[in-house]
Amino acid sequence: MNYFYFPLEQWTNTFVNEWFLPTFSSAFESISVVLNSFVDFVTNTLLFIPAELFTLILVLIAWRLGGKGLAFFTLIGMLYLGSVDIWEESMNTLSIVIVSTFVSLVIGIPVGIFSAMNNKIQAVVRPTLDFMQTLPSFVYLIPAVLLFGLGGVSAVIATFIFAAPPAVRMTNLGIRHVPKEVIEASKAFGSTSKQLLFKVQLPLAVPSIMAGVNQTIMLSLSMAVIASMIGAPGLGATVLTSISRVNIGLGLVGGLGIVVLAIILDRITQGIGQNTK
Amino acid sequence: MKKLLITLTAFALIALAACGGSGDSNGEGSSDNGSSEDKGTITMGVTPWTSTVPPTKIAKLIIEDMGYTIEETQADVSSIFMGLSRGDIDVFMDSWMPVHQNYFDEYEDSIESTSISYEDASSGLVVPTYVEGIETTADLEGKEDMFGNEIYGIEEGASATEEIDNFIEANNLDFEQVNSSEGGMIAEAQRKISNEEPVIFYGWRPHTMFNEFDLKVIEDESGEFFESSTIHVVTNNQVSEDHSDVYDFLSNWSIPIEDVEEMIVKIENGQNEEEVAQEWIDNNQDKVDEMLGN
Repeated sequence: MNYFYFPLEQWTNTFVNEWFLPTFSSAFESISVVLNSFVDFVTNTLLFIPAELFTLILVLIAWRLGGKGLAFFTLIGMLYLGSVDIWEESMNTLSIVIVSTFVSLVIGIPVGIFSAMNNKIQAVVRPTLDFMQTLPSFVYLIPAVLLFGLGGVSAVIATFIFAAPPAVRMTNLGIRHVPKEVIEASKAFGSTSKQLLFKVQLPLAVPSIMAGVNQTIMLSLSMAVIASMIGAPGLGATVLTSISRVNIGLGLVGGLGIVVLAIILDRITQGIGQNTK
Repeated sequence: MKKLLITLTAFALIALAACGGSGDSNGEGSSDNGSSEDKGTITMGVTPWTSTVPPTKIAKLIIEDMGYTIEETQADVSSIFMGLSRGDIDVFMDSWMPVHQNYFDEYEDSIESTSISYEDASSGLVVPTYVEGIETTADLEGKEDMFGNEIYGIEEGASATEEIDNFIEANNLDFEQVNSSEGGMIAEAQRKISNEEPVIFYGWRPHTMFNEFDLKVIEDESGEFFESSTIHVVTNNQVSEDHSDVYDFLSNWSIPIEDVEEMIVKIENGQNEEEVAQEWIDNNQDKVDEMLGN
């Protein structure tokens, strides 16, 4: 099929090495510094809180939002993380998940709102999201390191690319699915478009938005191992160690840690979504 | 239009066939029995490391000439050793000792080191040449903050990673090792080197990092750490029984480290891997004959 040769590889390399990196590396450096202090702050806070206190708070949250069963599971899960000695790793993974979910939501929800309001924006946003979700993460891992350096920041960026799309999609969907009659009624009562958005559309879209948040958190956790390939500490690093040492047991220890975190976070965020219904 | 396309396609196919044919015939003139019968399939393990490709391609061309079909399985090193132990993979050309000793301990019953490919592959901590005043590991003491107190290493759990940790501890250095992967580490080094910032990371030969950047290996005066590696060819135990001719060839295998480095550079510059391998065979026909026992 090669009727002509398309030098995508060479062009990209020249573009990145000769123009993009020299031009923008200082700008990205400052983003990197800001995000890095954010990641460090969350990590240090999580590690500063005594494990017992953290467990207690989490169990209470789980109880409020998910009921007794979830509270019990949370207790067992936290006991597991402590007793197989992966507490610190879990908190590292959790802080990357928290930061990347935060970034995903701060950017994703407004983008979702705009694309629900405007079909032209939607036409640009949708293929971009498809691209973000399907481009294999290994493709942007190394560029992320070139821009942001090894460690938590690159991990957050890579996780953001993979995990933000559901937040955008579900916000968009939630707002678009607000019944026409409701909107007509509020317009008839003379609400401004600002009031319409914040008092009618967004509140009605909350369950859908929370479903998006939930998906974002789950996808962030699933990136934990890949994030460790660019120097993010945490459970992913435990799993990678087990792979290079052919240590099946260690792999299960780290892997189950990710599963425990995932189930707790999943049920809690689902609980928030249902309570607001 | 359609007809034209079909005609063009036909021509292209004929041209392709002709090329393939001529390629085969001048492949390797001196092998004796001109064997074309299929003796079976040999599976070779290929890691993503740059150093694996040249020896693997050379051995592939030679074994193919013996009448075998070669299959290449791409995987990371632990999967390759697991495959070797189960017999899914027959040959791995790029086992680093003592770095891969842990796999030998794990699978000693089912795999064997068949020959030494090359020796004296040095490894250690490297810094760019513009970093002045760091020549030996003793120079690192008290200068940790110059490097942001970070040493960049390869994967978590690799032997080199453990060794660097031990090295930091034994010398009471205020360093923390940041682990990622070969690509991640090189990208970070590239980032720092493009800004001429000091950076210290794990380096080994043969690797194109020495061609791409101006690097110097920091000498370890104690001699306890970073001993140079020996590269082995590893085969599954069954190979010596089932394919004795391949086994005999591999047990005579050796290649100079300089040749491997040279080939890596050519491949990274975009030359076709098998062409580079064929070139080596053509230039080293006497060595190839020796390995084949001719």
